[in-house]
Amino acid sequence: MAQGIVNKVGFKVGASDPASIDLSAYVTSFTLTRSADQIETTAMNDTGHRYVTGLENNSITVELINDDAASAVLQTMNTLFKSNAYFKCALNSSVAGSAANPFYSGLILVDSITPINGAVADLGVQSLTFQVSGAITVTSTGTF
Amino acid sequence: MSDIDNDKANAEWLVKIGQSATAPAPKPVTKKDEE
Repeated sequence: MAQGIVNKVGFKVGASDPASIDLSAYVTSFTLTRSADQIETTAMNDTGHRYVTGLENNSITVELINDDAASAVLQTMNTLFKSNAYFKCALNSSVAGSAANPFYSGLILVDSITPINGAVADLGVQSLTFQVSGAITVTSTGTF
Repeated sequence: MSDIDNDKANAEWLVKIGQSATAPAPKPVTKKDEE
């Protein structure tokens, strides 16, 4: 794939490594934000501000259909609430890992969930943002 | 830090905060405990 629509994102979570509960079928929106702290190193005689990167500071924002079946969204998130959970995600979960489709994994802090959310007749969803604990592991081999 | 090192650091950190599958299993209940 060169350019294309985003419709094959994979998202797994779990209490143990590797994350094994596949929530991909419930994902309606997904954003992985990779960021690093910005450390200023500006010193005398510099004519502009200078920076280097510091620690990673990553996050995941995901919208999930709030399916209440076993191993689906509601029960999984209720179980993982207030813990650091393993995650794995990919742009395309149906093809092998590569430089064009790396797999990202690590730990997320499940500190906020919305088990009940919606107005009358709405589809129940959970719109969640998770802070990544530690750095993210990026692999370009294997399968999702 | 390599990816392998990152995975190891994550596992070790979970042990450090007391949230890990590798933590010691609960002490089995003995007959004496039940009495």
